[in-house]
Amino acid sequence: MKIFRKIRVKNALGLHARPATVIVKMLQTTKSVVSFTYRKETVNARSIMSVLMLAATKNSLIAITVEGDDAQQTMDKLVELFDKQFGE
Amino acid sequence: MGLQEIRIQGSPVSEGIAIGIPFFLDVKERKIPIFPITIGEVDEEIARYRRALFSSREDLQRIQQDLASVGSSEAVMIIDAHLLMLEDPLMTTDMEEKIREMMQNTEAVFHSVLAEYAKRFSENRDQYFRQRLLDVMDLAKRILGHLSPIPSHLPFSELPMHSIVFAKELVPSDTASAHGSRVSAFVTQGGGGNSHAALIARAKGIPFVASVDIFQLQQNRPNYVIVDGKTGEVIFNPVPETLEKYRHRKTCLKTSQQLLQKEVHYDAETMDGCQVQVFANVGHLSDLDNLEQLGAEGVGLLRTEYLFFQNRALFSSEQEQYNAYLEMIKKVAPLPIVIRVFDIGGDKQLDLSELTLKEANPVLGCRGIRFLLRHKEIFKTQLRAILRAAAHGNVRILLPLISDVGELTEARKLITEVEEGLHAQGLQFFPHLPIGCMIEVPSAVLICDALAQHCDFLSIGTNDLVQYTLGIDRNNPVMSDCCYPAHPSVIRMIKMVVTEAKRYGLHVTICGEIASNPLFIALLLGLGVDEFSCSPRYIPLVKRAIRQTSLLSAYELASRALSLHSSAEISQLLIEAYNKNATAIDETMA
Repeated sequence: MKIFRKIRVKNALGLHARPATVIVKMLQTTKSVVSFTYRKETVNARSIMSVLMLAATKNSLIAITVEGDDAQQTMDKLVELFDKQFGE
Repeated sequence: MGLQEIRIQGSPVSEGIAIGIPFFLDVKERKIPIFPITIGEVDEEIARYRRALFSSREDLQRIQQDLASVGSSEAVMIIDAHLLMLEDPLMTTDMEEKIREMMQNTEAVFHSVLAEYAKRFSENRDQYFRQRLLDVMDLAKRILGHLSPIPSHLPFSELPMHSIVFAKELVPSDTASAHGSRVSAFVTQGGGGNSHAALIARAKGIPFVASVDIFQLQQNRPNYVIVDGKTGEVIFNPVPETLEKYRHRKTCLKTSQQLLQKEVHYDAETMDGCQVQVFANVGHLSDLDNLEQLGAEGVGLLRTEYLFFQNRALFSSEQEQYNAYLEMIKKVAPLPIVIRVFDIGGDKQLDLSELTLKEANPVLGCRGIRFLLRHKEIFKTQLRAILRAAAHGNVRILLPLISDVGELTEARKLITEVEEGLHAQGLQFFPHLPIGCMIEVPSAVLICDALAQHCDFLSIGTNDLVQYTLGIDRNNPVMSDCCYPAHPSVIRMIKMVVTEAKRYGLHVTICGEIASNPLFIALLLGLGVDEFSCSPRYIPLVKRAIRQTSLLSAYELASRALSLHSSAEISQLLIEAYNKNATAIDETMA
């Protein structure tokens, strides 16, 4: 299964080290292939360095693609993290 | 007007005079070596990179625990990010692919990959994200740090000729990787004269001076340095007169070496006709090149762990090991070669993080035979390779750090198993090789009568024996003066071992540094030692010292030494005896 959606970065500093850490750690509990697209650049969301290199600041719109058996659960968890501003 | 001449007194570690240009290691940013690798080396290179990642992970986890215990959660989080970077596909699978693709050493590949990330990070408009580059760089430095202790990747091979290397500390792999024509001398801030790094420097004949304040020196930015490994003097920016004086000394030293060369083929026979055997301690194939020229009667100690050091393949396959041993055995044959199985651990820390736990006290930990009996697959692979290669020469096997008969019998059992396996496979090998024990801990000395009944020969490793007997860390610069083999306890132990070995008809070889020190030769002969094994370059010197000794006077010297109470008294006695003998010989020559 492959799902796709766009989500906005709400926290003040954008996708900086802490959110990136939280995302990558959460993804370690999942199996799907996850990629983030921002400013025409698509990266592997499991790569903390790649996520940081996106340099997505506050209010950026990130396109998330999730593909795999647990795609729906993975997407749900990601959306929750973005919504809760990564616990900040 | 030139710079001012500065003289600093350090402690002498390895003899010789070097004149060269300084190169500061560690203190300054290390230069990244770049060289191509072959297809065959790719897997090793990747494995080495993985080990560096693994060690970096261990570092970070330890740091994180420390931070957590002081409640610094923000810092814990930063370390979390670093830990995730270590697992990042960019750092793992991508790096590995790049190594395959670029066919260069890991450092070079890593550096180019980092340069790319640095560029991408710095292109960010947002200052906050630009700063994340610092995290990546910090981590990169850590990984590179774990890559660099491995010999061939130190910049030694890239140094200008006649460099004098200044470092805070040197590990054995550092000195092991030094190339004679490039590295003229070592100067360190710490480190005692008995460390394995020092031992290797001496074996290679590279001058080495320790306990020198390097930081202060670096400030002075010296342009020329003289190192006198005999006196421990380090002279910066020497004035022309000093330079001339040392150039002259260097030439004299060379001349006297050449004189010694002329008599190497005379037998090692005492003045009263007792034949003594002098063997070589070796660690590399190249050590065998001039063995015959030096007059060695075989190899008394092949340190196999160094054989694979430089190939970055410590746990090489059976076939690789077989090839390496075979080449050496054939080169030495028909003379005997004593192969000591891997002596891992202690201050010879290799990159074994996957196999060994971090030990608080590695010298008292899992090293030598203890390591091998706990990693039987490594041990068996080595034994198979040795046994097979032994079919082509005169081979004996030596077991390091034996402290109990049980270890010896277990090792013998494994050897029998390996023999049976080889036999079942129909492979050619040499059965029932002589098996010997290293005597290097006091417990082995005290039970040497028991050990003698279960093995075929004994070999006394005095360096470790001194360290374990006196309870002094031989790498501790503060105590390095006290870690001296002329201690009554050490002399008595050697006597004990020789006596027991003779009772059971076994040969005893002395293979520590003491065997290459002319001061000790007469004493050792007097204690009953009739086999010496030392660094190849000392063989002519040792043979000369033997020829200048009479067994009768040696016995007297030994019995006087055994009656003395302190190391100071024994040292004094040895120096007096040596000088007296030297004068007597000069007179007869004149």
